Amino acid sequence: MKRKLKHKISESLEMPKEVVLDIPCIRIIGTEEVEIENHKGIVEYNSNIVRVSSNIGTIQIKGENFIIKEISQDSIVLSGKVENVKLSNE
Amino acid sequence: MGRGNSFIEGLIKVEIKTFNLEKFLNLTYKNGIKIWDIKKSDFITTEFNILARDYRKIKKIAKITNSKIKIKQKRGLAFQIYKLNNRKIFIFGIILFIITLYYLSNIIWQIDIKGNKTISRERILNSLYKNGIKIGTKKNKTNLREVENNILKEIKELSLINLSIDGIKLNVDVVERTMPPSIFNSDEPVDIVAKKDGIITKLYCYKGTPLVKVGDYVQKGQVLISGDIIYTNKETNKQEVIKTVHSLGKVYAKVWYEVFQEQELKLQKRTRTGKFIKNEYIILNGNKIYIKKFENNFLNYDKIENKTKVSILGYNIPVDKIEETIYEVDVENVDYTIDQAIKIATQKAQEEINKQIPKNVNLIDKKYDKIIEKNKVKVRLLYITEEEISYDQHR
Repeated sequence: MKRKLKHKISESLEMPKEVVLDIPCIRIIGTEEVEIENHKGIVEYNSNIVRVSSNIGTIQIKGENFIIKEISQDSIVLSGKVENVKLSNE
Repeated sequence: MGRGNSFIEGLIKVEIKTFNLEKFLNLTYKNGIKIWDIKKSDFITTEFNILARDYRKIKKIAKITNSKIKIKQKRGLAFQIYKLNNRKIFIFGIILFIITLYYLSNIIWQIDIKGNKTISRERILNSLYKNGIKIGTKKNKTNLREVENNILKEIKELSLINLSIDGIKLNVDVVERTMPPSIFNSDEPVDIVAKKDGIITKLYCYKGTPLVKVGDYVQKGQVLISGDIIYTNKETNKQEVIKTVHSLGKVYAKVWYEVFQEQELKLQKRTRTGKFIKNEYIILNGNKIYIKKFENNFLNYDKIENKTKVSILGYNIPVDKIEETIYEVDVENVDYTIDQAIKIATQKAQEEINKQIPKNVNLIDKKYDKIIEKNKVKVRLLYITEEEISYDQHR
C-alpha cells in the first residue's frame, strides 16, 4: 500500500524513483564499470565475483579483475571486466 | 573521490591481510573514511588507498575485524616535507651555496684594460682605485659614469674611457689623446753644459752668452753657454746681468776615449769542474755554528760566501747566516807567446772601448800602442771622436 503510494507520487512529481523508493540504481558502462547507488553494503568481494546487498535483494556481478574504485555511503564503483549482472530477490 | 587534493594531504597505500574483508570494508565506509582502489591480490591479501589522516581509524577497524595491516607506500606533499625535515643541513647547504654564489658574483674579480698604448696599466688601475674600484669591490656600489668622469679629469692623456661590467669582469676601454708637444718656455733660464771632457771644435750659439771659445778645453759639467745676458759697462768696466733667457746652441768637441789592457805571458788558468759543495753556518759571538757541513776535499777551489740576516717571524735578529759555496777548480799553467798575448789584450781593449763610445759619433782618429815588458804585454787604445757635448741644464 505504502509502496504503491510512493510509486505514484514519484511518477506524478517526476522525482527519481531510486530516491523516493530507496531502491538501488545500477549503471553499467560498457563492460568496464558498474556503479551501484543506494546499496546496503558489500556481501562478498573477490576478483571475479562481487555481491552487494540492497533493498531489493542481493546484486551479483560476475566478471574478471574487479577493483573497487570507490566505496562510500551511497555508492560503489566497480571496475574490471563485467560479464553478467544478476538481481535476485530472495 | 578526493584524489585531487589527496596528494597535498598525503596518501597511503595499505596492505591488509584478513578473512573478513567485507566486514572491514563496510565498517570503513560507514565510519566515513575515504577508501579507493581496492584490489584483491590473493585469498587473504588486499591493497587499498586511504588518506594519511585516516590511518589511525583504519587501524582500529582492523583490530575489530582481526586483520593485519601494513603500510606499503607513502605518497604526498606531507611526506615529502617530512623527508626534507630530516635533511635540514642538506637544504641549509644548498641555500648557503646559492647565497654565496650570488654574493660572489656581485664582486668584480677581473679588470680588463684595452686600448692603452702609452699610458701604463698601473696608472689606470691606480686611478680606478682612487675612485673606489679595485678587485673585490661590489658591482652595485659603484657609479660607473661618475668614475669615468673622474678618471678623465685625472688622466689628461685620455680622451675617452668606457667602463662596462660583464659578469664578474670590468671592461675598461680607453682611447688615448695625442698630446700636443710640450711648450717651449723661453723665459725659463737654462744653461748649456758640457756632457764630457773635450776640446771644442764647433760652437753654435743662438741665444745666451757663450763662455768658451773654439779650441778651449772644457770639463764635464762646465757651463758652455750661459742663460744670463751680460751687459758690460765700458766706462766703469762693470758687468751686470740684464736678463736671463733660455739659451740655445750646439757645441761640438773632440773627445778622447782611452783604454789600457794588460796580458801576462805566464798565467794560471782556473776553470771550474762543476763539482761543488754547499755549507751553511751562523755566527754567534764570533763562533761558527754549522747547520750543514761537508768535508772539503778539493785541491784547488773557489769559495763564495753569501751573507744574509736571520729573521724569525719577520723580525731581524742580530745573527748572520752564511752560505758558503765551494767550487772545485782545475788549475792550468798557460804560456802565451808575445803575439798571442798582444792579440788577446787588443781584443779585450777593443771590446772595452766599444762599450764606452756612444753610437752615431764621428770617429776622427785611432791610436794604438803596445809595450812589451819582461813577462807581460800592455796595449793602449786611444780613440778620438767628434761629438755634441752640450745639453740643457735647468737652473
